[in-house]
Formats: sequence, C-alpha cells, structure tokens
Amino acid sequence: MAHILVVDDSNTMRQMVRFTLTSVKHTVTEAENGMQALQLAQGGQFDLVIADVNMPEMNGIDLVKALRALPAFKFTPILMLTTESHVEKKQLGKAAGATGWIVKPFNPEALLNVLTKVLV
Amino acid sequence: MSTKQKVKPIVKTNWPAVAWIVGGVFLPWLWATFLLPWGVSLVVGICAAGVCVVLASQLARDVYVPKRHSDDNAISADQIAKIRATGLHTLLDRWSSLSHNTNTSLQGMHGEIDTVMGQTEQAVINIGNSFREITNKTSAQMEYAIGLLKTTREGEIDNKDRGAQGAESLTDFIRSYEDLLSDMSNKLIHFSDVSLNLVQGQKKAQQNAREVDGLLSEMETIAGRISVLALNTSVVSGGVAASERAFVEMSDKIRELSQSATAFNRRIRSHMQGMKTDLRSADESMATMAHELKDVARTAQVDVMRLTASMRNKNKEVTTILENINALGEDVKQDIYKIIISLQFQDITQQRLEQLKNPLLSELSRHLSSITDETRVLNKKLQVSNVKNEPAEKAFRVVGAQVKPKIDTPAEPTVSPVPAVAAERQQRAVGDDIELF
Repeated sequence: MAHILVVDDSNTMRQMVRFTLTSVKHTVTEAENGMQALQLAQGGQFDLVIADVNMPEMNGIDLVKALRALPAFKFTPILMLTTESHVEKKQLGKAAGATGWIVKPFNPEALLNVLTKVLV
Repeated sequence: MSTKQKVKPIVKTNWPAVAWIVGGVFLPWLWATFLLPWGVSLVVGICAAGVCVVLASQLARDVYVPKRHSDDNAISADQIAKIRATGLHTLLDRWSSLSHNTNTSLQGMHGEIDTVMGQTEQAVINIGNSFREITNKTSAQMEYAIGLLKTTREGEIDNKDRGAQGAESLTDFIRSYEDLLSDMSNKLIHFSDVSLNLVQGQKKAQQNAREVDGLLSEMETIAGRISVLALNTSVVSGGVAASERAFVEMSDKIRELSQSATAFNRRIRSHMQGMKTDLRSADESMATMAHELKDVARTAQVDVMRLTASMRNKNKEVTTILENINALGEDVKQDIYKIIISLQFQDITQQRLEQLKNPLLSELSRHLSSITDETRVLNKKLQVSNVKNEPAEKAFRVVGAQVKPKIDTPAEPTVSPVPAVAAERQQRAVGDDIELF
C-alpha cells in the first residue's frame, strides 16, 4: 500500500481524503500548506502527493515546482485537488509538473480509480 | 408667508456696547451719590437703571439686526438655509450611496449565507439520512448474519425429526448430523455385539468340527479293526473245524465294534446337529445383521441425501444472505461517499464565504470611517461659521474643498460575489472533472 502526502488548508477536506485513502489501506500524512508539505517531503519519501492549489504560505503550484526540484520527487505522481476548474489554472499546474487535476468536490470512488492508475 | 417671516432672527447681544452704556450711565450716578441726598440718589439710580436696560436692549438689537439687512455681502437666512440644506443633502446622498452599496453587498452576502445555510442544512439532512440508512443496513446485515448462526425455528422442530424435515439453519444442520452419527454409532455397536455372537457361534462350530474329526478318527480305527477281524474271520472260516469257539469270540468282537460304531455315529450325528444349529443360528444372525445393516445403510443414505439436499439449500440460502450482506455493504459505502461529498460541498461553500467576508467588511469599515470623518468635519465647520457669523457658504466651500477628495462616492465593494457553489456543483456530476496530464 502507498504512503500518500495530503496537502490542504481545510481540515475537513484533509479528513475526507484521509478517510477515502485509508479505507483501501493506504497510509496518509497530512500537511496544512505548501511550506509544511515541502518540509515533510524533504524528510521522507512518499509514493503520491495530493495537493490543493489555493493555500496560505505556499500555494499548490509553487509546491509542485519545489517538489519537482527535489531528486526524490522527480517522478512521484502529484495530483492537484482543487475547486479551480479553469483551463488556465490547469495549464499552470501541468507546466509546473502536476500529474493530474481533480476538481472538488471529489467522488471517493473516482479518486481511488485515479490512484490505481497513477500508482501503477 | 414670506421667507423672512419663516426665518427666526438670530439675536446676539453686543456685550461691549452694553458695557459702554452701563458704564456711561452708572458712573455719573455713582459719582452723584456722594453729593446728593440718598433719596434723590435712589430715584436717580432707578431711573438710570431703567435707561440702561432700555438702551442696552435697543443697542443690542441695533447692533445685530440693521447689520443683517444693511450688509450687501452678507448671506440671507434663506441662502444659509439653502446652503445648509445642500450640504446636508450632499452628505445624506453620500450616506445613502454608501448605505445602498453596503446594502447591495450585504444582500449578496445574505444570499450567500442563505446558500451556505441551505447547503449546510442539506448536508446535515444528507448526512443524517445516510447515517440512518447505514444504521438500517448494518442492522439488516447483523440480522442476516445472526440468522445464519442461530436456529430461527428451534421451537417448531423436534430434534429427532430435525434431520428428516431438513435443517433450518447451520445449527440445525450440525445437530442433525450429530444425531445421525450418534444413531449410526449406536447401530454399529449393536452390529459389533451381533458379530461377537457370530464369532462365538463359529467357535462352537469349530469345536464341534474338531470333535467330529476325533470321532471320525475313532471311526477309522474301528473300521481298521473290523477289517482285521474280517480277515481273521476269513482265515478262521478256512478251518471251521479247528475252533468253533474262536469264531464265536470273533463274532462277539465284531458286534461290539458294530455297537461302538453305532454309538460313534450317534455322537457324530449329535455334533453334526449341533453344528447345524450353530451354523443356522450364525446364518440367521448374519441374515438379520445383513438386513439391519441394509436398513441402516438405506436410512443413513436417505438421511445423508436429505441432509445434503438441506445443506445445498442452506448453502444457497447462505450465498443469498452473503450476497445481500455484500450488497448492503456496497450501499453503506455509497452512503458514506455521499456524506463525504456533502461535507465537501459544505466546506467549499464555507471557504468561499470566508473569502468574501473579510474584504467586504474591511471595505465597509473604510467607507464608514471616511464618511464619519467627513460628517464630523462638516458639523464642526457649521458650528464655527454660526458662532463667528461667517458666511455659511464659505464654511461649506471650505468643508467641500477639504473633504471632497476623500468622499468620492463609495465604489461598489470589490469583492466578487460568491458563486452559487451548490447550484454550480449540482449541475455537473460530482467527481467528473478529473484530468490526468
């Protein structure tokens, strides 16, 4: 089972993602913003990162760029989980190195399906 | 009615003039009191006081009112009122504008709060419904599971007939199998007893056979003796004359042997009879046991077939129940997913509202502060202009010049309205917007 880093400033959202992922035996580590996530990433290895875009201190796009700069996260799948659905934002995420874009509110079943695809 | 009649004159006492009048009249009176008799001084004093009052009141009116009418540069009460009305109107306009803009924003916010409340209420209802469904389904699952383990019709079926009627539950099935096995082992014990009897009968038959063998040996001995005697008889008969006595003796011997052989034959017959009896008994026992075994086997076969059929049905029932349990589990999972989605809606809307609230409140605070300052300054200027008798227009002009840059009509709050998250999201299927790069 995978070790997943979930980054979101909303505690409710983190809990929802945690509930969904732990139901299929994944291990979840939480971070409240990009900066905290980056610190966690520098101290450990994760199989997948799920990050919000609009966050205090460091937003999701900057987090993706910072993670891609780390050798350990060069090929780690990073999914953006956000309320943003504009094409421009998606393009920014893609350019930064995000693996996928999921618009909130997410369907837990759909999220798990995406995970099975990106964790292969 | 004329405008002048409407305006109440402002009467202001010219205190320096009053002081000059009072001083001009009373100082001579004071000087005179030292020279004149006190009665005259009193009368003169009262008269002087009366003159002072009349003069002072007259002079005070003369100081103010003629100026008002005679000064061409002064502003009329009508103009003052107009200017004041204009200033107040402008101020009220600004207040009204601010109030309108704030009201619009607050209405928007109110609408969003309504949306959030509605969304939250809906989320709570959904969550409540989902939890109720989960509880019901879990209860149903438990009942199904308990039904598998517990005898549901225990009181209706006698234990002995349980196997014959078919097992109603796993417990019934196990109990029936136990009964069947117990019955079969009882019958096996009985067959073992019968087998022991058979073994004993066979032992007796073997004993009889051995005894028959001994008798047959004796018979052979007797036959040998008879043949010897017969040979001797032949020899003796050759010399009849030799000895008649010896012949008689041999005849006696032969008779004894013959009797002995008869006795042996009887004993052999007796043993043979015994053997026949034992063998018949053993045969009957064997036949009985075979029949019983056949019956037991047939009964066992029927019971096993019945139990197997029952078990097969039970397996189908168990499979169905397990399918139901799995289906309920799937339903429960979907209910939990609904809760997750509802909570997300609520959370997203709450965040959007939070984003709207702070800029709106700061904008409102800024505008209110600006207009309050402006009002305060205007009020102060009006007071000053009245006290100093400055032309009110000037005061307004000054106030307008000072405040104008600050009191631009408050712009519409720059906060973009919260999108109707619920409506927006409900229009598209949840979780559809996923893109892998």
